[in-house]
Amino acid sequence: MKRKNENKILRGVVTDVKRTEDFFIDEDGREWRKCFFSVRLSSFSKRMKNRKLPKEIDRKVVKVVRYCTFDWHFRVGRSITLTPEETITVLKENQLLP
Amino acid sequence: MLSALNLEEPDRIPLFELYFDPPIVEKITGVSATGAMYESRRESIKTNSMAMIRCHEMLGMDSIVVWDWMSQARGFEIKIGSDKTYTDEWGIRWRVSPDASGYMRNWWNGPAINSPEDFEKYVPPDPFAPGKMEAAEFIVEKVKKKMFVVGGLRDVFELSWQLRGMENFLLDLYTNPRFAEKIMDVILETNIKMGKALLDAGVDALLTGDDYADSHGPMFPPRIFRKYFLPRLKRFTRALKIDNIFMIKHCDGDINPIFEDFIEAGFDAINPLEPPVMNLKETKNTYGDKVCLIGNIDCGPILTHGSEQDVKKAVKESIDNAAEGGGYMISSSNSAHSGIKAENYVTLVKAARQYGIYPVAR
Repeated sequence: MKRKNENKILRGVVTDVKRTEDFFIDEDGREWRKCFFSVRLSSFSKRMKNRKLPKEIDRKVVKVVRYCTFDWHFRVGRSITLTPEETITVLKENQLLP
Repeated sequence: MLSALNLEEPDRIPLFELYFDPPIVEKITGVSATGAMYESRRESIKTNSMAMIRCHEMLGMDSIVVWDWMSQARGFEIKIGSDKTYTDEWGIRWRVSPDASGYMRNWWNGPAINSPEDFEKYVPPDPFAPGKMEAAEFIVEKVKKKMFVVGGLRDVFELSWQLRGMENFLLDLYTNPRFAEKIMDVILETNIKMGKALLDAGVDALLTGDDYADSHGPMFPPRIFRKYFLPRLKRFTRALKIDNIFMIKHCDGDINPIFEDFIEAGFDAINPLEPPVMNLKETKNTYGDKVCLIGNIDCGPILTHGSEQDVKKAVKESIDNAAEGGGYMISSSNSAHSGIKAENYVTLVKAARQYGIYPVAR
């Protein structure tokens, strides 16, 4: 059976999307545009028993890179989850992980 | 599936379906399919299960639901009489007759418990009886590494009214609540064992069926729901979440007045978010950071009579409304029932796979 694990994943809200000139074309011919997202952190994902963020990163704005193609990808104000690697980087930068 | 249930962004939106009626399985796979409860005979468990698996594989579904009723304990035989009725392992009477599409469906036909005296002699099915989980074990063995397997159960309300009859049970709640509660407790204890047996068979998560609402709202006042059913839903999830597994609640209709109760009861996901009474965008805004949402593709007019463009539009709208941040799975607003167009379901799947890809981090 699948159990929930508690590896940390951060969630937040996209506050700004900056499109760049970089892109790639996928096998279906769609153009995926490289964007810099500003994300205001809001909580951990549901896999954490305690989803509340430490004060060091609560509501902090971080930058992540995403390649986007559909309208809903570019929307400001939408929620987003960081990858495990991005989460670790944010936690380390804020001395919340060794 | 796991990312969505954890309220995280997966690579694409997962595909879930509560159930495919055999005529839809047949249209998609081209293989003659059975699989209704009255056909869950021992000799047909494997052929029924294989047809169901084939349908899921051909569509590229991410999950499959195996129901507790898909196999019966060894020694229990479903026998359809000359009047086209039969008794299931709970003692409930069913009639087999065609639905609007011509599919031979089982319809509730009569209670198992007619009086408090009947209840004193009542014996529920044994979830751990040999053979009872044969369908679940078979499906888990066949698809374990390819699909997320969800064990499906009926719930306290559904089995209570089926055991007593809808009118009788609703009257019991007002005129003889102690009797009604005794029935509910027997079902609850049996269902907890049924859930444990499904988990022992290897399913990845549990789902409880049961409709507490129709399109006009809950079938009884929320205070009745909170007095009798919510405490039992909590006991059910607490008993089975000891292994920290995921629990999905299915409930048709306008469940806005009791949505928060399902979250309080400990469910991780809510299905099927029936449109138009369940507004997906509002539901996402209100509950999207607490619970995974599954469904909302209309299996009424859209999947039964809609065009390819109608289906694509519905899928895109649902994704626009609920995909962000994760915690959403595509499914119909109830099931792939016999009245839908199979080709519309294929369109649903294609549109979801095409438009449901999340932004790529690399």
